[in-house]
Amino acid sequence: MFALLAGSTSGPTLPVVPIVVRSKVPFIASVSSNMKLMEPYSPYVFRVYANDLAQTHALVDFAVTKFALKRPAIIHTSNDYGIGGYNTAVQRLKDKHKLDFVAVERFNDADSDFSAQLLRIKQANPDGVFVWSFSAQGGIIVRQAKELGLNARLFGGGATSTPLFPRGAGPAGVGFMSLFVLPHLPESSMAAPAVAYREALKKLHPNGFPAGRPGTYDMSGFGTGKIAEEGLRRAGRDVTREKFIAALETLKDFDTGTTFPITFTKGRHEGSDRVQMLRINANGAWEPMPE
Amino acid sequence: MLFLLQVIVSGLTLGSIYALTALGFVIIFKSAGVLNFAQGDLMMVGAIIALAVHRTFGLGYFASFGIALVAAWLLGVVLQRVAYRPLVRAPVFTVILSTVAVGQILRSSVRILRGSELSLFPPILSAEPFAWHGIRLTPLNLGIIGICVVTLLAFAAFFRWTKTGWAMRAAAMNKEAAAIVGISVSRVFSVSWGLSAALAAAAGILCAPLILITPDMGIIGIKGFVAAIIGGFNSLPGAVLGGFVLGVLENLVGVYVSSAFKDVVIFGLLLVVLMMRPSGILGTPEVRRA
Repeated sequence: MFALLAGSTSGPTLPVVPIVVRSKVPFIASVSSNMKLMEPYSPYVFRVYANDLAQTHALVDFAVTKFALKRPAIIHTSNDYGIGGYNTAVQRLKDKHKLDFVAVERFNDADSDFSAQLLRIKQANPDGVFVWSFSAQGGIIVRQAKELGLNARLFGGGATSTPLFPRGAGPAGVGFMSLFVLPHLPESSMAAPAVAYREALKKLHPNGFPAGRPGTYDMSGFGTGKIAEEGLRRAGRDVTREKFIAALETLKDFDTGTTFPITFTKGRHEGSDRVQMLRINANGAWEPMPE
Repeated sequence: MLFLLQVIVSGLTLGSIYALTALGFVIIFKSAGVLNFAQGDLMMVGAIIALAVHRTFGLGYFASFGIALVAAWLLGVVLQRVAYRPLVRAPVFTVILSTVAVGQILRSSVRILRGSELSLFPPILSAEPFAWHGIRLTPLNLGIIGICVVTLLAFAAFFRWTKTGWAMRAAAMNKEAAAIVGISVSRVFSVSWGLSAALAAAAGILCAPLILITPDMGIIGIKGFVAAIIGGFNSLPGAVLGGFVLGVLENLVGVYVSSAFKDVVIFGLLLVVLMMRPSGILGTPEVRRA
């Protein structure tokens, strides 16, 4: 294997890291935001989108500043993603905004009812609640929050901003705000990169797309392919892994069309820190919020 | 006080889902003497069939529901013929393991056929909340609790007053004796598995608007199993009571102790029940004669 591309969320991506580092195989991770991916730094590992730190800082700053939150609360999943999000959020609240959560609730991956956690949060009377969860559970949380009369503003971590989320939340999801680590390109978008992606997918599946495809995070994988393609092009004909890595480290604001512009340098393999705030509109669809 | 009532009412909603799942476990146990660990996966399959019918043919809720029940019944009968009947003389443990295998096959097959897509089935009643004396409710939640109670009564009547119900109970107690008095044990078992699968499908379809349809939605079957043990594995009212107790207790622990401790307390309670009263709250102890 010359190089490894893509991956799927931090859970299955992180165990790959020691193997690729030991084998000195370049790895461009397309769907992982966990800080541990790049800690300690390895010359072989690259990340395509904003890490947990950048995401959480952006979301906390947006929510506290724009809505003047004074009594934030958080509900988070107990896996790496949720714990990482909580730790970073609580630190950012203290350091930058001199605030603390009035309620902190957690749940497990297999849970499908969150009424106990939401009732405890409601008791704390928060003015904003951060939902650090994957989208399926996040949707149920938002729906149950409305059912239980929790009327605080709700904000989601990056993993909630998928098309699945509004399905789970239903009408209760309208107004829910979340950050997104990729440019907002709905699957039906006629923007050139989205069209190119769908065409490429059609070639792979001429008899129709598999269920759930194209997916939002497919775009990140597609962008990762473009990054690798550009790296190979820059590395020249007699490509080696070292030349490939060196070529990737020359990318500056490289536009894949489906990710934010990517910049890698020697010593920093975080491709982008950019995020975008999205909101669910009255039609139950995600839309970008004005910057 | 109002807050405590809200905690209990929310727990009853959760408990009604557990109760419906627990009923499926108890019915197959009462009639075939088997713990069916594929029950949760049959729930998932039922919900997916209803969703597929609804989407593909544009049929309404009740038509999709009905077709899914029939399909699940047939699936239950086929599973009984293919996976369980050949093991009729095998130790109970072997049959239980085969139900685990069937559950895994169902889950993996769904993943292969439709991926891990999450879907929402339209609810039978509105999910829009309203307040009643300060307690927040939804018609959907109330409806599920009501359906759970009606299902319990219907099955209780079925087992008490119908010939098929008597035959199922007799076959579960003693297959040989049932056969001697003219009961077709094979037919009774087919009916049992079909009925149990259809009930699982009904539970899956009713719960789907609350918990989403995924290949892993059947994991809630574990809580249904716990509810059945707490309530009494050979008692229909016990299964429903166990479900409600479990749901309310989960919420009380989650709110007044810690949400992180919910499962610790629930499974701790399971251990206590197994040690102190293995037949459950309403179950009757099994008498074995030498």
